[in-house]
Parts: sequence; structure tokens; C-alpha cells
Amino acid sequence: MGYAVREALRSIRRNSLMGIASISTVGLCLVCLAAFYLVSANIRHVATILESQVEIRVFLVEGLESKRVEDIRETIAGYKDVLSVRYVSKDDALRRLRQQLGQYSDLLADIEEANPLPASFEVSMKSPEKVGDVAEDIARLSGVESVSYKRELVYRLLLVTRVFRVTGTFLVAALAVATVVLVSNTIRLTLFARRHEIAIMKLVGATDSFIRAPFVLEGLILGFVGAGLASLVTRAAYSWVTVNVPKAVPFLPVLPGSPLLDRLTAILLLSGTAMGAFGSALSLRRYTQV
Amino acid sequence: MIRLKNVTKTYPNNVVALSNVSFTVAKGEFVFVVGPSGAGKTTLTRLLYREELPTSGSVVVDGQDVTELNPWEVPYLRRTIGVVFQDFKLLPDRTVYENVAFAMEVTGATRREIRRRVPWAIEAVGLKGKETAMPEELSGGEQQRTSLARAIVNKPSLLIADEPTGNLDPTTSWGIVRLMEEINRWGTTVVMATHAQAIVNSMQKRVIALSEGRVVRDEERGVYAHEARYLGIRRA
Repeated sequence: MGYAVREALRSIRRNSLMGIASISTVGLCLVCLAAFYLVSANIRHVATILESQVEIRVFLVEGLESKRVEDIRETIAGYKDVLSVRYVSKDDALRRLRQQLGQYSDLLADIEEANPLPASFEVSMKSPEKVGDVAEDIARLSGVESVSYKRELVYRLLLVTRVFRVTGTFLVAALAVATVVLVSNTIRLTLFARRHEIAIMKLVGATDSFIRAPFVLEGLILGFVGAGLASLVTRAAYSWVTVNVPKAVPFLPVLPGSPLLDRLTAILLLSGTAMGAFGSALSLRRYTQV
Repeated sequence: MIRLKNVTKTYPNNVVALSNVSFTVAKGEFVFVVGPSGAGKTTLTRLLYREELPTSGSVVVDGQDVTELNPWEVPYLRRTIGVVFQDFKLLPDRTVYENVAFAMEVTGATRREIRRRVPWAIEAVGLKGKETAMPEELSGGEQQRTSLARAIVNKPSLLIADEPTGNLDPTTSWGIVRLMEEINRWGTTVVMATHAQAIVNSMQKRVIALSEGRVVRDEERGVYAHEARYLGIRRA
């Protein structure tokens, strides 16, 4: 084991240029992976928040007696996917509208006498994905004029996440292939530089695994160092984002770095090491017929 | 120690290197394998340490048919065999000591064993004091002694030498052969493929002569070639 470590380090030193190239591609590939991971995690986060805010507006028929209003409220509140029901009276609706208009609220002067705004319920969901079904059921109740809900934004966000993920996966996969090829080339150079040594090792009775161990280790080290650098870069960049983005765009919720980055670092180190090992295994299989 | 039976080796380009070769070598014997270039000497040695497999026939070394070994068993066979070449095959970036120790390191020997046995092997080949020299600082004879030290450091039961004196002048060659004779006296079986007529003729050891892949002569206390043939070669 000591022998393998010594030989691996020695060979990295000797081929430092190829080593640096391999480490950089591993790093680059993993930084891209990290970026896609973090961005899609955040988009999902935003989507979840928005989804939890999905509400159904239930507009009631004009002049409904209060007993019927109460019946409808209880029916809606009884649905298992519904979280809460809030009544908005005609007066409430008008007040809100006035508030929204702000300095233009004078415009409402004419309609104050005969308020045309309907009374309504605001229904918030326990399970936002059921919003369509619940809205349909509510629409069938007598005394309900119409229902409306906004899902478009959430849908679109989730779609964006999916597109983003697919593109990201392809790009990272392509980069991973390039990385593996480069690492395998580095190992191949080492193999070539040490072919006499390998021949002698075979001659004096070294086992295949003994001969291969330093090369596999070299690949592992290249992958691991690249992944380490990628983790550092990602951590630094994301800390900057978590501090500065909320300042610039206050309403955008950014996931805190703490549990997210730790998981990401583990993923990066693991996949970097795996790429390195895979790269060296590839050239060992092709270029050492022991 | 060695038993070849009906061994034939044909290379993919249809060159027949050995054809129906059979002989046995007893434990502790010293055998010269002679013959002109292309007679199959190198192929024969390569079969013994299983660098190559015969096309047909069996090769038994130390009671084991090496043609039936699994690939993973080959390293363990080679640890019992020392091999020496015309071109020494030393690692140029390592000292004499490191070159010899290398053969033990790769077999997973402990540091204590290495520290005990490497100096012994270096002293046995007469290189005491040259431990820290690099191969390029050594004469050809010293380089071959280093490779002999590497070959014997694992205490092999068989020493195979393929033209070990091919790159050396006659005096130096004699030193190497005397050393191999001594290693043989310790009980190691020695098989030496060679062109060195003078050495073969004066050593009075067993001689197996190959010609075009066939054993044409196998004599105790033999010579490189009988007079008529010998003169014939010289005249040509």
C-alpha cells in the first residue's frame, strides 16, 4: 500500500502538466454539476413556496342568504385537501380594491352605492396538486357563481426546472465523458512512460493488482483533488450568492447554504473520485495485458 | 525440475519457433541451450517462465504444468524463477540497491526481509560498495551482476539466462558465468541460452542444441558444436 501511494504521487509529479489538465477538467465538470444542482434546487424551492400559496377563489351568487353561505363554507372546509376557508364579503372586496388602487380610489366613488363586487371564499390547499379537482367540485355546488385559481406560474416554474435539469444532465454527462477520457489519457501516458518498469514487475512476479494499484490510485487522486477544488469554488460562490442576492432581489427566496452545500460537497467528491477511478480503469484495461 | 513434452510453438505469422521439443532437466543441473539465431532458444526460455504458451505440448516447471496455470497464478510461478537478459533490463532511474530491492517490493516482502536479503544478494554478486550507484555509472559486467542479484534475491529454484553475456567482452563474460556456476552450486537449477562458444566448450556442462526449432543434440559434458560443424560455420 505504501508502495502504491509513493508511486502514484511520483508519477503525478512527473506528469504534472497532464495532471493539472486532468484536475482542471474534473473541477470544471463538477463546478457545472454543482451550478445546475444549486440552481435547480432553488427553482424547486421557489416553486414549492408558490405552490403552497395556490388559492381557489370561489365567487358566490349575488344575494345569497347567510345560512346558505355558511353551508357552502362548511362543505368546502370539509374537503380533505383543503387547508382553510376565508370568507370575503362584498364590503371586504370593495375595501381591498380601494386599497389596491390607492391614490386612484376616487374612481370607485360611483359604484360605492351599488357594490358590484361579489362575495367570495378564499380557499387555501393542503395538497396544492389537487387544486384542479377541488375547484371542479366547488364549482358544482349550488350558490357558487364561479371559481378561479392560478396555477400557471407554478406549472411554468416546474417546467423550467425540468428543462433545466434535462439540459444540465446532458451537459454534465458530456463533460463527465470528456473528463474520464482526459484522466484515462493521463494514466495512459504514465503507463507508457513506465512500460519497461511494468515489464520488469511482471517478470519478477508482481501480481496484476499490485501493478495496477498505483495507476488506479493516481486516477483516484486526480479525481479527488479536482472535486475538492470544485467544492471550494462552489462553496465560495454560493456563500456570495446567499449574501448578495437577497440584497439585490429581496422577494427571491434563496436556499440557505448549510445542509445543501454539505450534501453537494459529498456528491462532488464522490463523483470526482469515481470519474478518476473509472478513467484509470479504462486505460488499464485497454493498455495492460498482464 | 523441468520437463518439456512434445512442445510446439507456432507464432501467428506461421513461423514455427519450436517443433516437437522434449527434454527433462533435473534439479540442480546446469544446462546450456545453444544454436544459431532463430533456432528457438529465446522462445524456449520464455515458455519456462510463462511469458508465452506453447501451441501444443506440456511444460512442467517444479512439478507444475505451467500451461495449465490461471493468469493470476503466473506471478507466483515467477517468484520462484530468476531471469537474466542480454540487455540487463535494469530501471535506469534507480540505484543498484533499489533495483534489487524492487524485485522484493513487488512480491510484498516486508521491509525487514528486504533490508536483510538485498545486501546479501549484492554481496553475493560482488557489488558490495556499489549499492548507491546508478546503472549508467556501471560497466556492462556490473550491470549484469546487478540483474543477477535481482534474479537471486528471491532465492529462486530456477535461474534462466537468455544470452546473459551477449553484450559483454570475453573476460567479463567469464566472470558472469563463474558467478552463475556458483549460484548453481548453491542448488539453483540454471538454464542458459547462449552463443558463447568458448564458454560452452570449456565449462563441460550439459548442452542442448537447437536448430530450426528442433533439438538436434543433447549431451552431458557437451561442446558448442562438433568439430566438423564448427569448422563449417567458421568457413562460411
